[in-house]
Amino acid sequence: MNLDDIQSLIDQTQDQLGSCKSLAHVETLEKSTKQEVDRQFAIFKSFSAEDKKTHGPRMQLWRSSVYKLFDDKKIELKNLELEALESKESIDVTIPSKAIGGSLHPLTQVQNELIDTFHSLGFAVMRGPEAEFEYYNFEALNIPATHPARDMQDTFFLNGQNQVMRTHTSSVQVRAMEQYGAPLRMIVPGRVFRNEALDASHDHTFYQLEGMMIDKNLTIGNLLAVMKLLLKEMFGREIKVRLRPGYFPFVEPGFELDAECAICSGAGCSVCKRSGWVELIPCGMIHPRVLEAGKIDASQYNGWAFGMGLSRLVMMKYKIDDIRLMQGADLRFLSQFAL
Amino acid sequence: MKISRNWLQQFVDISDITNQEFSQLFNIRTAEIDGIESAAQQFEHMVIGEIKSIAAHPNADKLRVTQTDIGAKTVQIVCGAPNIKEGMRVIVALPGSKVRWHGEGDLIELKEAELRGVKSTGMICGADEVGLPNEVDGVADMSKFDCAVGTPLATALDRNDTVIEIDNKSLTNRPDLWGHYGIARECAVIWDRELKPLKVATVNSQAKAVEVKVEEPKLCPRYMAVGLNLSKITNDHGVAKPLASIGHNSHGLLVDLTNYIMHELGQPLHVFDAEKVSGAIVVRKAKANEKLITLDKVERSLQEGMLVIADQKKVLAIAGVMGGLDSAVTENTKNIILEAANFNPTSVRVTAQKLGLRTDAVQHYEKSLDPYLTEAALKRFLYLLEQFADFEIVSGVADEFAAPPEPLKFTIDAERIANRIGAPVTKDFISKTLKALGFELVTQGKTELALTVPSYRATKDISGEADIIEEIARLYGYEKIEPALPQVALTLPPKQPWLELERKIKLFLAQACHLNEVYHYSFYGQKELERFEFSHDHVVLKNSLSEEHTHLRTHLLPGMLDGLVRNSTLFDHIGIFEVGKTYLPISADILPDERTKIGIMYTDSNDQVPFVTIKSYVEALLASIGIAYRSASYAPAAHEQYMQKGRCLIIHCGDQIVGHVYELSSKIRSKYKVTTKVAFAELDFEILLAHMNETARMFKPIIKFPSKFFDVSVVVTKETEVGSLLASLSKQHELIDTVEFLNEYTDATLGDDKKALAFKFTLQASDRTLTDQDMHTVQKLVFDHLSKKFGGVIRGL
Repeated sequence: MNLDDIQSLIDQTQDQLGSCKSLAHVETLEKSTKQEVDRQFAIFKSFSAEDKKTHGPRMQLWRSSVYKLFDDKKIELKNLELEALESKESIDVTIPSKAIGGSLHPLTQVQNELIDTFHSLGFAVMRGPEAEFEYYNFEALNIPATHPARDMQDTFFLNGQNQVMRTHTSSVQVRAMEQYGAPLRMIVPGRVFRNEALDASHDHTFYQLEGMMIDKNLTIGNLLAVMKLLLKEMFGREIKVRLRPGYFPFVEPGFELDAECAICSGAGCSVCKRSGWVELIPCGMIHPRVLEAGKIDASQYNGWAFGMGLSRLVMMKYKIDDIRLMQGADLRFLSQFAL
Repeated sequence: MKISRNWLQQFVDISDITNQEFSQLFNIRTAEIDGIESAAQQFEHMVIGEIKSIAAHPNADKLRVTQTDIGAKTVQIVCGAPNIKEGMRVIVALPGSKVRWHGEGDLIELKEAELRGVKSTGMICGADEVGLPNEVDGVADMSKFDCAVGTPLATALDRNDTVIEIDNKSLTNRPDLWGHYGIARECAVIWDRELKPLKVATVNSQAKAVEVKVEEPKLCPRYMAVGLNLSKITNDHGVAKPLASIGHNSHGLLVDLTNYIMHELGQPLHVFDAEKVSGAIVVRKAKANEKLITLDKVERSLQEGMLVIADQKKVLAIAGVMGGLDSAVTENTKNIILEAANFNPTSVRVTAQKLGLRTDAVQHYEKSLDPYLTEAALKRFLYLLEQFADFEIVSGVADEFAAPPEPLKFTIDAERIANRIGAPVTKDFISKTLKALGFELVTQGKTELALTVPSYRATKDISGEADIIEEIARLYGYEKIEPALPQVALTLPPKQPWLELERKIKLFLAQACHLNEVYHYSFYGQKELERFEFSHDHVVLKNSLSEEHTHLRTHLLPGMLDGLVRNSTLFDHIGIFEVGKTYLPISADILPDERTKIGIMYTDSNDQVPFVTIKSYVEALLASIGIAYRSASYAPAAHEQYMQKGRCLIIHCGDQIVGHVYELSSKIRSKYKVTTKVAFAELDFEILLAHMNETARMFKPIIKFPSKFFDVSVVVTKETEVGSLLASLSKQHELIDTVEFLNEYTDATLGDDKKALAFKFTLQASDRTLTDQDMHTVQKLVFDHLSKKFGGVIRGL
């Protein structure tokens, strides 16, 4: 046996494989080469024991080198084949994808943000009936039957006895006091109703967020601080605010909380009627009579409350120009509020 | 409410305060300012002109071309008013001035213009176009003003005032601020000035008092009257001008004085022609069928119970609302009875409402006026009358005041007040402020103050400590209060499962099912009742705004279907959901059963069986909530004709119905002109809430032993439901882990009333590897069950 023959077989195989273009060709060649390898090993079998020991490892190495040449070549050709196949599968990746869709109403989204803020401050989130007794909507809130707010033009009255569609989320104040007593921290987001004609900025159905805190020795400064915190969370920056007197029978003192106009930064523009301020959150210290209606000792406890117009806030936040878009299912509007 | 600064100046000297400063501080101390109008600004670039000639407009029938002298020159102005005449003195608004076209809309700045091809320099104005009360149609005739052509309008009108408009709503609880004197008192405190006393007459008459009988002292707590004989009256008097500045025309001295005092003190007055009053004045309730022609010349039918002022024969006036025409004073009236009365605010308001007659007097009375104000007003009337007329008191002052209210007194603690405000307010500041507001104070101990509330603050707005906190805090300055977060014990709020569930559902439907959340009104109307053939009871609005919104919804379906229709021309695929309340009446004395419902609606123009999709939404949603439910096919009741028979599913939870999943019937779709198939599901949120997390989620260990599978295809009758097969098959042997429905197949060879169903069974034991024998046992059981229980024929056996 001539070992040089063996080396030349490797060189020869390499050359032959180099010109192979198809897998079938490689396989034919592989078959004949393996026969040659087998033939050489048959010769090798006839070697003396000593020669076998001397040449055995070289023979093994030689065989595996030859086999590897074929394996490598087959992989190379296979890859080329796959590449060719994939190149036929290329697509236009710039074609727009089909919209998956799904959205939450902007009111829900803003409501959720506010709930999260208050929840993190330890406020309970409550709900109450929308068709409500006049008592909880009015009397309990220090709005007696003779009060002008009870007139038909403001309130939807129901055919049930002494029942109305609640005109504010404040109707839950005394219900919450009855249920939980003092101290109490709670908010009520929800739907409210006023007997008002529809236009771009008025609807008979809109949303409010009520907030209330009852504890010992709460101050006007406390209310102011929580309101500032709320606005900072909502708008992502410090908002300048001011309190001025406002009259609501269920708070005393009652305030209008104005925020500095975001459009003109307080310089005065048409949006803020040149005042530099935008009326944002009616609020106040809970009237002692309301606490008493909720069976809370007004000499021990006091509190503050606010009622924010959620619909207006949403309109401000997203610059929505017509409140009527909130009701009804205009998908051109709603689909803009994807999550 | 309009306040004249000149008028205010009579009582408090705030001449150094600019309009802007006034507005800024009054806003945050007392009440909202709606606007400030100064005459100088209002009448800028307006002069008195004289029309020299009028010619036809070449291009317009209704317009004419004038040459108008404005003093320095003559200008050409095109005018459309029919009442212009040559030689007429008129108001000319020149370019640069601001006018309100036809007295309506916003102010518009005038520019030189061409009207139908003819140049016009300015405009000849109607009174309302420049903000004056309109006396005639068309342009205002200024001939009565004795001034030269070219005189600025402000000078001609003698107007140099500034008028402050205060938001009425922000004065609702402050009867004391419904006149200039009250506002002056407030200004005196805000700017720390002296409030000048009101000048009133001293009445010293021995004459027999006017005869007055108050039959309803609750509705008329106080009634004062005095009889006067007038001998000389000047109608060119000093109160017309301030009245004009706040928008009141002059109606002669007597009426002007009553108006003037109403706007000065807040107390309405009325004068009767004494010669038209027969005998004693009676304050009583109207009787049935009584009528009165009021000052505005309208005959009013009075309802029984309305409070009226009457004499022995007839009704003279509707108390606190409006006087009668017959007893009204005229130019020739010599003998009058002056009324200064206090009426019950609710009675006045309700009467005015019933009559649809909301006058200035009503607006004042409904605020709860101070009963002690009548005396001041009556004496103020006499004081002012003395300046402009000669008169004699012929009947002395009657004063029916059955139950003068006791002064309101209580004690406050200065320290507690400072604490409640959250600012270092001193006892001295509190004392000084309250005194300036008219309170009487006595110091008790170190921090306590005993106070007496002035009568003009005691009727409505001040009743206890909280009201004093407001007075002190606002006059101390809300802007000086430092924000400070409350320092309270750390606690977790009570759990609100509804909130968690609602949020979870909404997120799931939006994010997992890709639906759009919608909101609809809580109301619908006759149209929906008819279309859906709803025959059940509804809660009804007593005072609905429109026919569309008369009933409280009991279903979300009508609103959502409306929503779908609105989008159907724009979108082929619509998937929406709503979480909203429905209201079912129970009985009149308890609140309706208010239940939150979840509505899911879906349509796709390419989907002939949208039921399948919506069912998958519902099942996935229920699974995500962790609810154990059962569902079954549902045969709609007669009143549910909006459901398509054969495509309805009912879902139960325990023994309660959670809701239905169905396709809308062609009948209802045709009423809404919807051509695509629409699927809808309505679930009861409250029931889901009650069963939420009932099945606690627990991890089941993953079994290491391999499972075995086999498929079965069985031919059954068409009516056989896969649901009942599945339910029954899974219970046949303990080794059956799952039974999965694979497909349904129909073919003529099976027969018209047959279908083939394929299922895949997975067998599993938790403690061993299954043998072939196990599988054969189960297979045999299943085959037997299918054939015996369901009459099924196993295919391929």
